[in-house]
Amino acid sequence: MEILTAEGLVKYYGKGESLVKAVDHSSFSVEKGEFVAIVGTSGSGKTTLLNLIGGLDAPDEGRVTIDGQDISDMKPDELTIFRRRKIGFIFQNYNLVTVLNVYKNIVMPVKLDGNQVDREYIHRITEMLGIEKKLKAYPNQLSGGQQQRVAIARALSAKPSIVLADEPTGNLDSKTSQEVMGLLKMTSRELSQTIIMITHNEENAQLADRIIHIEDGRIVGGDR
Amino acid sequence: MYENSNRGIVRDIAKGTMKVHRLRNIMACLAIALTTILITIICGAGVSTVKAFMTEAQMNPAPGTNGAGICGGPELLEAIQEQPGVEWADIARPCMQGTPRNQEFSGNVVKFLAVSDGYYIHNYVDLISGRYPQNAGEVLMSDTLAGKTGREMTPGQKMTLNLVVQENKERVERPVEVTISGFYDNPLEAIGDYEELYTTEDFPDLYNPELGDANSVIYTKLTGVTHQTPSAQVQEKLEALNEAVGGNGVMLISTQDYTMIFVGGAALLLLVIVYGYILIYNIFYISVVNDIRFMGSMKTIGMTGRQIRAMLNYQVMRLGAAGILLGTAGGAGINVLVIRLLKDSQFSFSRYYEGGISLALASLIGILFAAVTVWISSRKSLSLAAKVSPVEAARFRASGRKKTVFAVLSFTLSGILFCALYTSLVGYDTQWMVNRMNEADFKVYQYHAVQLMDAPYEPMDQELVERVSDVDFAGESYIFYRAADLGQDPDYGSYSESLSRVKTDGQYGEILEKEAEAADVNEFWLNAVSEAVGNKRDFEAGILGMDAGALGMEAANLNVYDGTLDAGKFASGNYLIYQPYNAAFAGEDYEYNILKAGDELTLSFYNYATESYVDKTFTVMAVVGVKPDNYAGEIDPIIQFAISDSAFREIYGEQADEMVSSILINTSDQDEAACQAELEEIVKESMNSQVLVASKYETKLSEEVQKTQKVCIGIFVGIVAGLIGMANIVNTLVTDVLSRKIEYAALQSIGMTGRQMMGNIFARGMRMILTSLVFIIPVGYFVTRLVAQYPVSTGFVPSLYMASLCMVAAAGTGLSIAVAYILTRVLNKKTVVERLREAQ
Repeated sequence: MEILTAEGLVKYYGKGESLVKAVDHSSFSVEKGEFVAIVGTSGSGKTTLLNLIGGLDAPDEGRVTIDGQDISDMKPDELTIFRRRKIGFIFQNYNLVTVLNVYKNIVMPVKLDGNQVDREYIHRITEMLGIEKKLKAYPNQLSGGQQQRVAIARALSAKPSIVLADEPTGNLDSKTSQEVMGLLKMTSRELSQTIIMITHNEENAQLADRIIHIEDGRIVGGDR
Repeated sequence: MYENSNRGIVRDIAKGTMKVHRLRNIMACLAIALTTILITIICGAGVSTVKAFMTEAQMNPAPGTNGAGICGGPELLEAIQEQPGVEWADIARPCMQGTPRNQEFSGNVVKFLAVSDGYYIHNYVDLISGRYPQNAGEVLMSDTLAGKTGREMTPGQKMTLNLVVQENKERVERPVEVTISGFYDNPLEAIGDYEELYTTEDFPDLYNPELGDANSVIYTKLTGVTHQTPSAQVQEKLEALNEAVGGNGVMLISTQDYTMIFVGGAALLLLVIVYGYILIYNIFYISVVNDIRFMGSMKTIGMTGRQIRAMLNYQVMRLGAAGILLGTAGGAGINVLVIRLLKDSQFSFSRYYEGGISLALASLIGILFAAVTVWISSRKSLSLAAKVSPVEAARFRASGRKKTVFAVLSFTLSGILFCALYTSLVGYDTQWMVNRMNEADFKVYQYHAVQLMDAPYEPMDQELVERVSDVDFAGESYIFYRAADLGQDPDYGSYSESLSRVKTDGQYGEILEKEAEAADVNEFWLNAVSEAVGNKRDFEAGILGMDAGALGMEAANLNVYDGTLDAGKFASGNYLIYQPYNAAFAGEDYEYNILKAGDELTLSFYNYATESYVDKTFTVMAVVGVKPDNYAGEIDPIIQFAISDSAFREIYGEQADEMVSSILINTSDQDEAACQAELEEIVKESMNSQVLVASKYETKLSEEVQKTQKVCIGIFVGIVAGLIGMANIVNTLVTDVLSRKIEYAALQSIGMTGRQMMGNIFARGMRMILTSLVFIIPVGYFVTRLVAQYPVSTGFVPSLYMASLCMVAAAGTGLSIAVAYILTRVLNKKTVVERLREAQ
């Protein structure tokens, strides 16, 4: 079952001689539970593509459907709420809230939605990610790898339809990168979680179920 | 392009970055302009006020010496002039005691003085027309007296002066025709209804030889003595001079201590500078925090801290110049308006406000202080920008417990100050003040009855008393008498207030002796008692005769230590009310056991008319003392014995009619202004310049003006202080949020809506405000209760305190809402993606 469909996405910046085609008529789809890596060099348009499918940016043309809902025509607040419930984000810089402890960072999306926290589920994912003993710590007391695990937990806490990871190992050393990649793979498998990860690292991309290549804003392979 | 200098590139970057900070530039300019305006106004109004004060201070008789002189006649003048340390000396001899009895002079105190030639020049008596008097048939009149008497200032006019001269020790009226030789510019215009008329030095010898020179003063200018020389120093020098020449005493006016005014003005200026510092500092600091990553980037590509500082300095200087220019223009303009306002206010020095050089000086001071404030307030921000490393910039967090604590403390202090000022000043009860000074609606009184003067007592004539008592609007009227030696001789030129002799060899002497043994008695009184009792002389006491019907009014002003005030018994004439000298203002806790209610007291009163003693035995009705800070009653601190008017007449006989000290009137007439005017007209027609009119109406007008002025200044200070506290809250909140904008972008990416973001920022702000309120409420209560006492205010008003707290809470809440709204809008101008990209 397709959980995400991107059709004819276009995102251009500037005009005339300074026109930049960040995403140029790209289409692809992702099945539920699939771990997809979008690979491209710097400036290939992979981050822009991720922002489009995550609803952080609006395409000039095309549509994005997530879990049967077309997000292209949603109003900003509708989109934000949709994103809160259906999409989990993992950033290269973790982007944790420094004044909140680990537990509060993890449950932030649930709290923003005004829902009750599923403590059992949170316990399960923190155990899976090996941070169950760090719940009362603050982000500045954790290593980079630990912070990224917290970010992964946060992305999973609202049981989203898809998790979007933007260069999740970009700020980590190779050993920690491997650990984090392993964790992403595991959560995808254990929780049947759909994960779309963008990376420029081919080695990391190999852990994914499928690799989509993007070049100059166009998908050149793996789009199905 | 830049040859070997890198200044050009720094300037280019400065210009470029300045262009993209339009909002910051406007805010900075406005903040600097506002600070400059406030400083300029304070310096303008402040400087002008000080000048007005000092100008008024010179407005004493003989302004050239600030009233300093030696008492004595013409025989001493040359001796004084020849003394070392004397720059010059001039004599002023009164030609008569009191004011010439000219109808046209009614309502004014007119001193007719025979002066030596140098007096005019030395005391700013400048001619407008004509010439100085050259003989005893000529007089010099002021422009203001000419105006009051409806005269053209044309020299050569004849007038008749109705003098009161001494002939065979009697005061007799003697008309003297004079010619007005000239008119002068009155340097004493500040002294309300006071005028001086001059003639040649020999006039008293010709027209009033019996008067003598007891009241003559040789005004002396001592070397090195100015208007600012402390009184104690002047007195010392004068006394030395007096001793050297064998004078009859010294005369001087106490110099006013302006220290508190200077201190207050300086404090206000400091407050505004601090406010300006906080405001300007916040703007630049927020700007730097917002651009901290840019600063880091600049460092990364090779810009040194010094170059970053130079870049920001370029912007600060330009913004400072623009703001100061704007502020100076605005401030100068407002100064003109404010000074006009102050000129029209009720202060005695109001007429001496002027613009011109004061305003120019104020503008210069404003520019200087504003420039210094801008320079100091931008230093920290520039240092932050210059010192931050690229790594630190990427991780920069502006908040911290210290900063939050400081902001909360600042808001707390501002809140306490605002609450204290608002509650005490708005709560100033003018009616309380009116009642403190007046017990009846109107009072016509003999000023000399309660005040030492340099002229003999002029009794209120019967016609005046009857006219006043019988005015149409009087609902009830009461006549009061004070026993006095109407024929007293001057003591060094002064005539004492109404006191009368009572024998001390008897019961009264015993009572005085026992009172003198108590602790903490007034030293002046103690000396007088020792002198009288020790030498078996009569004691001069204050004796009041009053209508029993007025006892109810009087009771409100008195603490009764023993007995009760019973009007019925009092009217019989057999009772007296006794006030021990040291009981006046002593308060409720004063203890007195020497004389008690019910005791019999026999007193021997000296009757000046019959030159004999009148004995009378009274029963003590009550022992009383005037309440602290109360000046309304006729039983005032001078009075020891209050008896019924019938008893008073029994003792003093027909002379009692010449001892009327006041007539009190209560009315239900609503047109107070008309009643006041009617009484003033009656008094004016009596031509007795010692009789004055006071009223609740007049006091109320004056108090309301004072209250308005206090409230305006106080609220202004409170608001400025409040703004300082608010500025710190804003700074803490804004810098915290701006330094976490990436975090907020991430939160928005995972589902935080704009409203939730606003709510989050609002909650941060409210936490600080509510924490402050927790301290403001109890501490502010304590402080306000202290501040709200007299003389600042008239007591603590709980409802006003609650209102001030609500205002502080509302201001804080409004601030949190506004900051949350504005910050959310500002941050969301960039998309989530753009903000997240900044992190990369």
